[in-house]
Amino acid sequence: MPNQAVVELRNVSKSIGRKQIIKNLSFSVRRGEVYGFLGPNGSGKTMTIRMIVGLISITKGEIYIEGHSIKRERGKALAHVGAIVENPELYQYMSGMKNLIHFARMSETPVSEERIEEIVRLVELEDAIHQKVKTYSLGMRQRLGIAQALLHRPSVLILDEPTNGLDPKGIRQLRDYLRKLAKEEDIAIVVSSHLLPEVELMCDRVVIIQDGEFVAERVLNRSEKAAVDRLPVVFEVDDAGKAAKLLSMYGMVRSDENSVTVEAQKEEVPEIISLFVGNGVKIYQITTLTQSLEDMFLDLTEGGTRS
Amino acid sequence: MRFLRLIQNEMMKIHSKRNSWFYYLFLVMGVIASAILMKYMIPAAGETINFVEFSNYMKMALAPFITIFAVVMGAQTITEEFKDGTIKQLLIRPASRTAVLLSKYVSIILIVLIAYAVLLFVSLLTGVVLFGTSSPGDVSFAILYKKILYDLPGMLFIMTLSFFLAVVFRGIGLAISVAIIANFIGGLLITMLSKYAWAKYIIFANTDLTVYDPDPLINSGMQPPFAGMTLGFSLAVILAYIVVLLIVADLIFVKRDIR
Repeated sequence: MPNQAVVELRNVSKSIGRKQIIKNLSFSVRRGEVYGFLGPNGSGKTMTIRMIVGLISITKGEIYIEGHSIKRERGKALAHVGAIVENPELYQYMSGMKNLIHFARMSETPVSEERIEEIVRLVELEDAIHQKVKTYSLGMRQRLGIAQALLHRPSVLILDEPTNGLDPKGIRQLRDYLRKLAKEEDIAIVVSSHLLPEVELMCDRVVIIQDGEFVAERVLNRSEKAAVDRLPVVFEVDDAGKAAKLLSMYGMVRSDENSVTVEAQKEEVPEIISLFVGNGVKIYQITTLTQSLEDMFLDLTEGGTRS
Repeated sequence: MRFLRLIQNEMMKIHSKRNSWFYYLFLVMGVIASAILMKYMIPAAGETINFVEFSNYMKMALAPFITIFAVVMGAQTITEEFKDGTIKQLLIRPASRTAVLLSKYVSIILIVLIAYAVLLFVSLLTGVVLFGTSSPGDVSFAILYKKILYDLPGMLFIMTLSFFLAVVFRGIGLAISVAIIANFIGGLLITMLSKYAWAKYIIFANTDLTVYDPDPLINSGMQPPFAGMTLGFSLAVILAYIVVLLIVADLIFVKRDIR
């Protein structure tokens, strides 16, 4: 079934003691897409990922993987998951191959020797696979981590901060690789990051959270999809106050001395123009902010420090 | 079977660490060094003891080290996964946490059995080579095996205690030291409490099972610490302590948030 949600979070909350760390978070990830999970450090990304893979309990709400609740059918849900939680922490005192054999044995579905060899070729570790992992570079560990996550042909691959410690070349390789993987194997990929630019180009959609709360979800840079996406549109007008009142039906409006900004779909823009014209508001300029996501993200991550 | 594959994994991990091989090597070297010392320092030894007796001495001298290995490994198997962060990769699999924990426990039992087998095999072999089979000895194979069998339940308890402490507190130092200290002061505790009848339910009154054997070569003239105690009673007490420790460890392990 196309577009079926592989991972679904429904009103998920997590409290530790009295402190609520994740607040009513909902989103879903579909087959074949790379989904970015963004937020500044400490926003609750890792906590959420750990709930998805069953490492920490869910205080309220539900998480489903391939329709199985992680709370009630943990084994069935996790059979479909491949993940690297935080750094690719593998057994350093064993060879890459032994690590793969270790995790292959833990798979619900049998993993053949051919499959292991195939994966080793896929992540290009043929030459080093029999060496101990402690001799590996960070990039090699990252690739071995991906290999162990893919062994059992999961339907969702979850990578927590995969670009951490990678150089730009490594990031680009990872990006190309993940895009290919999502399309060819038709799996859902969830990538968390605190750095938007590093994952912007690999993701089809992103969700942004802050302080454990949903902030926004966006479809990224695929032109035909952008048409249905709501983007901030800035209207430079003569009477911002009047314009803001007229726009109130379109949701949140920000206004200053001579401009108003509203989030709107592309086809709504002509409607707004005729609304202004019909009410005698003069329009001098209209700008659609395509960089909105980055701006929003920078605002979140850098707060007031930006001039 | 799935559980067997988990045990295979644990055994592979234990034997991929160099430390584990040092433990076996220590036993082998201990036996060989003792044999050479006995052979050349006490020239008469060749006539008075045979290979089974030599093996018996080695069991007495080296079994406490097997206890220490068991305690160290019982703690390490859990704490290292937390320390290296690999616990996360281990617990995001379909296998339940209970199965993972139990596979670790069973693997340590296997390691203890392997260590005993190594000790027995190497000491018998060395004994045959250096002391021969001819001289008459008091200790028979049957006695030697019995002594080892009597050792195992008590050792299993100490190992379980260390395993339990490692799961609950995640600190290897604490787990090992508490388990080893308990092992040494347990007997003292029982002596101090010997006037209370309920003290027979304390685990340390039950860990020495040799006292139930009628053969003086096995019981070394000792009596059970409390009247009316039987082998069955002591085994039941040890089993009860082990089961309770494992259940509590599992409840904590299953509920724990891995952060």
